[in-house]
Amino acid sequence: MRGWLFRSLGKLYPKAWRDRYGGEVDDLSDELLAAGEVTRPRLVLGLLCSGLAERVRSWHRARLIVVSSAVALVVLLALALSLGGVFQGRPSTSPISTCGTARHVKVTGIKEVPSPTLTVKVVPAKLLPLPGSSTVRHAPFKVAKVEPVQSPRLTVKAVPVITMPMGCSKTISTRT
Amino acid sequence: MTVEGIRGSSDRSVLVLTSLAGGPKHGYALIKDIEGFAGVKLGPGTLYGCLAKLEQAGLVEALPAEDRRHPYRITAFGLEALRERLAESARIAKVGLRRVAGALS
Repeated sequence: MRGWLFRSLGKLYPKAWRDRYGGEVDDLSDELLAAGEVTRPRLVLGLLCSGLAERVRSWHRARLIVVSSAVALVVLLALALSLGGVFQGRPSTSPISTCGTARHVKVTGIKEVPSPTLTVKVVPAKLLPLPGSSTVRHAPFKVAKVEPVQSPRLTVKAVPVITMPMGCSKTISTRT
Repeated sequence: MTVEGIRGSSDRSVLVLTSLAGGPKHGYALIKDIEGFAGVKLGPGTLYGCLAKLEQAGLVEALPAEDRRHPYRITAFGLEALRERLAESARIAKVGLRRVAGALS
């Protein structure tokens, strides 16, 4: 069945399908026609229907891929935003400067940290890890009060009440 | 198509797998064999539509071409899927036949 008709019908099939199975379908069609197993109109009709079916199936697969990719992107974006919120904290009115790794922030007043489940520690500033290092730890001082505040991001307010020696600054270290 | 997929698939996939369970076959032999045991005559597009899905699912695999013919054979995974599918059909047939017999008596 080689000719313009099959070439036209072949275009109904997705390209990948046509590349993989087109030759075999062509050979089988020739064999069936030669053996008188099928009439030409019936063969054309069959190829037309199955070509459309393969095309629809291909669109369905493509749509699934697009939808699942979009969902994955949204989930990743949400995760990234959520993690960003944990590590960076929400904007605060108190003066905050970052020091050391992203998990350590240096505060001079009240600091809001982004989750009630975070462990909040206060360590002397001189024991802060150098930028890029995250291995320095120090026994934490107690935090007297951790209270939730009204916020859609579920923040808590940590209020360090200890008095630091002169020359030391207060630092809140958050550990997830 | 997965094993779950074949469970809900049309009978054509089952016919192709059943035919290949008897040994590797190329397209023409598959059509003749299926016509022989099931009385169903598949067209080339329909047959290769089935083979494509089954091959994608790992239930059948292509063998090296012989002349211009391209034989396929069922995989071990395909045999297991076919066994499950036929066993399920047999269970349904058993229940159906019992109920039909009850309704006729």
